[in-house]
Amino acid sequence: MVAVAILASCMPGPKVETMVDDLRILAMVADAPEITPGEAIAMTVHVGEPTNQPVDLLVWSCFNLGEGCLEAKSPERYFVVEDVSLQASIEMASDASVLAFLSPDLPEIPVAIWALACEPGVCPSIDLALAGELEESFLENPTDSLKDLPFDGVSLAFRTVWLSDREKKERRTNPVITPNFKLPDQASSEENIELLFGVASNQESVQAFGYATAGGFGAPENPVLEGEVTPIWYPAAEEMEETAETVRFWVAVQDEEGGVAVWTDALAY
Amino acid sequence: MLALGWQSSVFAQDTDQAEATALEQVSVPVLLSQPPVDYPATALAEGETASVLLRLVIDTEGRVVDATVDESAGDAFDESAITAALQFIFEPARTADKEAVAVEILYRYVFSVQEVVVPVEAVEEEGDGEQQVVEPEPEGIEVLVVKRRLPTNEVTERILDVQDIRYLPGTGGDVVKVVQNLPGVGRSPLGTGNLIIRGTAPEDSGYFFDGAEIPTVFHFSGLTTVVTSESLQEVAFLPGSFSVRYGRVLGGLVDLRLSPSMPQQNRSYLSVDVYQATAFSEIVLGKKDALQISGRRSYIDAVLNPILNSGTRTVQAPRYYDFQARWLHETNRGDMLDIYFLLSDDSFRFVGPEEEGSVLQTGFGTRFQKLRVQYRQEFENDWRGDLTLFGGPESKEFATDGAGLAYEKPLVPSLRYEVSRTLTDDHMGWNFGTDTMAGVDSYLFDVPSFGPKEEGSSYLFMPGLYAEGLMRFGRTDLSLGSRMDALAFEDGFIGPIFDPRVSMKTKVWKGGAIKAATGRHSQFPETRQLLAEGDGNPDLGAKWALQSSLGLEQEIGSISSIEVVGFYHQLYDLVSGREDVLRFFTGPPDFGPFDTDPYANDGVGRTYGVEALWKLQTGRSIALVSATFSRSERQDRPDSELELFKYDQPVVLTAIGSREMGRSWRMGGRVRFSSGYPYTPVVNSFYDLSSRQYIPVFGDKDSSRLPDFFALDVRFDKEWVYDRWTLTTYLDIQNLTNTVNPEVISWSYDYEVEEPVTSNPFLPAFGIKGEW
Repeated sequence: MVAVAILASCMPGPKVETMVDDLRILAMVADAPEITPGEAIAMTVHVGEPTNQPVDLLVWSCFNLGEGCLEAKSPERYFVVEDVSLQASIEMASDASVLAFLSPDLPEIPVAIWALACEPGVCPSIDLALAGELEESFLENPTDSLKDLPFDGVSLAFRTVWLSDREKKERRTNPVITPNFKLPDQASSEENIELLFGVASNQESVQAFGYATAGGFGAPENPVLEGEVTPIWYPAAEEMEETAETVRFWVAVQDEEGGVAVWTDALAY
Repeated sequence: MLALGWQSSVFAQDTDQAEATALEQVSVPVLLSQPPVDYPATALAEGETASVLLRLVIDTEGRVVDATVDESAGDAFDESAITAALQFIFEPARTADKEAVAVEILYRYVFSVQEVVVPVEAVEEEGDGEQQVVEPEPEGIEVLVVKRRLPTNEVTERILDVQDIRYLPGTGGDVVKVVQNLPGVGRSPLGTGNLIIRGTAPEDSGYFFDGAEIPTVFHFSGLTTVVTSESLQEVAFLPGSFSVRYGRVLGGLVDLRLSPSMPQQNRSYLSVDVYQATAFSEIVLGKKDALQISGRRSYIDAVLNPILNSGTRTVQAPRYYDFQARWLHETNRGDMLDIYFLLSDDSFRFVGPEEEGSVLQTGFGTRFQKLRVQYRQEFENDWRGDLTLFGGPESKEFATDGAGLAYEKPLVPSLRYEVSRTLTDDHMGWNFGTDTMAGVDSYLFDVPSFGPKEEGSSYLFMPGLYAEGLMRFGRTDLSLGSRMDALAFEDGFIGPIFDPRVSMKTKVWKGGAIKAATGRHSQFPETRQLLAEGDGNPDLGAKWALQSSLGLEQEIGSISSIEVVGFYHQLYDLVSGREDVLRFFTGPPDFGPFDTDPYANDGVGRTYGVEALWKLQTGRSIALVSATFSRSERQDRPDSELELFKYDQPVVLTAIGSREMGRSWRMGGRVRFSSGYPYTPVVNSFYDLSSRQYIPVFGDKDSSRLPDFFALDVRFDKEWVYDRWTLTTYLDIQNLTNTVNPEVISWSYDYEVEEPVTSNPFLPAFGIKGEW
């Protein structure tokens, strides 16, 4: 029976992971994923929302030494973007004081970048941020606030960027994803769509992940081999009927060092 | 009889001791009256004679409270013999001091037809007018075995006799699974054999084999035990406050006991059901030797693999086998040499597609081999000595695709020597023993996705000594004992620990007794929790419990009894911490939230409740109704709150029974109801974009509870008796009402939707068994 339980836990449940059926942060692309302390990062947050309703976005960083975030006293502690549709880009400055922590024994330091996306009016923290009254305690430990928030209409995500004083040529970079296909004019509820991508990366292991607002993606062959990957989108008639007039796709490729690239497009059906 | 339940707990016996001394000390019951018997009509017409060997249990008033067939002569003769025997009145067996005692005897009933000339009007006319008189004739009492139920200090010991309960539904004829229907036992999720006794964790209770602990008693699936039921004489369930003979266990225990005596005749069987095939054979080799061999092999894999296999991987469904061999030798001095070998092997794997060479992706395995060598001696003045060496390698393994490996491989044999004297004329009995274990325990947990590598190995030396005195004052039996244990390991030493225990039972009125016990029970931490080279803490001490119970038992007539026991267990120095590390589970794994701080003896807890058991047993029927009402709480750290324990199950109700319906049909049913286990709900989640996994945000610990469990099981047996062998078939249907019972909580990928794993749906199982 234990075996049965294990099997059951491996089997997909009624919710399909690759289908974006609620507000969801799908990727955060840092340009670049590794920087020198004090440099700025261009952070692009990709947001999936099945009905294309704009959402509010709060983004901040936290290098937590166990006594709060080092950035607590930064002049631009967080960034709020209203009415985000699909994606938002933010220019974030990293904390130059991190440089003091770097040493031959600690050549790089991971810093967490957090993003909170909410439907308008759902998250009090975003309202407080807009009013400039957001407390540092929330930024130190944002997950506690989730206990009082609903599942629907809220998405909290984080990723890591790296601070180092390495030469630029030695730093982490993002992979490059190139679509090698032509989307059909319209999605059909009866036909799968194969999306062939070329992937370039200086890392050995790159993985691909597909998401769609209707139907879903089968598990692609991971890791990506020989610079190519072909996620296959499959329609689901029931969802197709219920959703809007378009289906949006996202395919993210991600290496094990934090490099990310995202392709996105939409189809009518 | 060694019946299930009440009376057994009243006169809880040590079977070895009972059989060794009983024949010398107990008089044979004398048959005072017998009713006329109905000679089977068809047999009578054909002048057929027969002999039925019955096993009778005679109570202290000389009434036959149980009658079962040991050697059948066919349905009709068997039924007639049982019907008659249940109406016999005996002069009860008595001890040397004239105290009446309950005993079990073998009784041969011979049906014969004698032709005599009688007046025509006095008899029934038959056939061509020849006159016949039916004269069933019991050919005296052939007493082959007398068992006296000797008192021990066990306040609550519930004995399961293999013969009594083999037909109970929902168990597949597996005697150990019946334990799960007794009061004090929580219902284990998904049918696994987890021992959840009086609200304690499975790892705090143990399965023993004639006093020596074994790593597991169930194969993977929980469908069946690793020991063939027929090789056992009885299974004793001790939920708490047990003798100092047992140690190193914080909770309760189940002791599987082999028959200590030489078998009287050859017997064998072969059985086949939808899951497995089993073979058993017991061979008498002269008067001084006997051999027993049994084995089992599952074929669930053959049935399920074609169903489960799909996509890019192949599932190898659970596969298990076990093997047992036993040689009994009685020396010229009358001592007994008993050598027993037990092997069990379970495997469950995912492997890659055949075109890629079927590379292992994920696999689990549990296997062990144990050899028991026991030498039993009889001394003068009712003293006896038992020397037992028990040990052998065991391992649990988990492997993934060459990237991860985890195992635990203890090799820690035990040596026991016990000198004992049962309660005799001077009203004193004694148990003195040593219970020592020594060996090496090795482990490796190296599965990167489950945290950093953890590896260690240590010698273990666990000396144990115990002494116990049994005293009788009038109607009261009193037991006083203490046990000393210690543990030496690579990085330290724990002990010595003294576990004093006291228990008493007093007969306050006819058929009724009050019993009470209290005592300390200690258990050492796991090796990985102790070793400094991993995440362990060498300064840990033993966790311990102060177990107390108070109970009342009452016989109701000669066929029924009831027992009510209240218990309170206070737990101290429980090991808290590192709940996040990879470990082997006997049941569903934990989901969190986890205490990730270092190991420490910071935990305390308590569990309390009331257990009740009503039992009915007649020649044709057996029924049990059990109820447990309890609460189990834990406080993991000094600064945390006392909270419900994850194995808290406030209400467990079970009714189970079986009855012979005539014409060799038997029918049984089982109804179970229990509260669901607590679990910690997930109130939200957030997304780790690096691993692309959601991380749950938990609500208050164990603040939700799984829905209540309900199931109805039924079983039908039909037996055909031939000259040289017996054929039995059965249909065992679990969850007849197809009730959906969530057993283990699980979630969607983002934790938004609860997707519990449910127990088995309507599940019929058919089996066939040939015995000769």
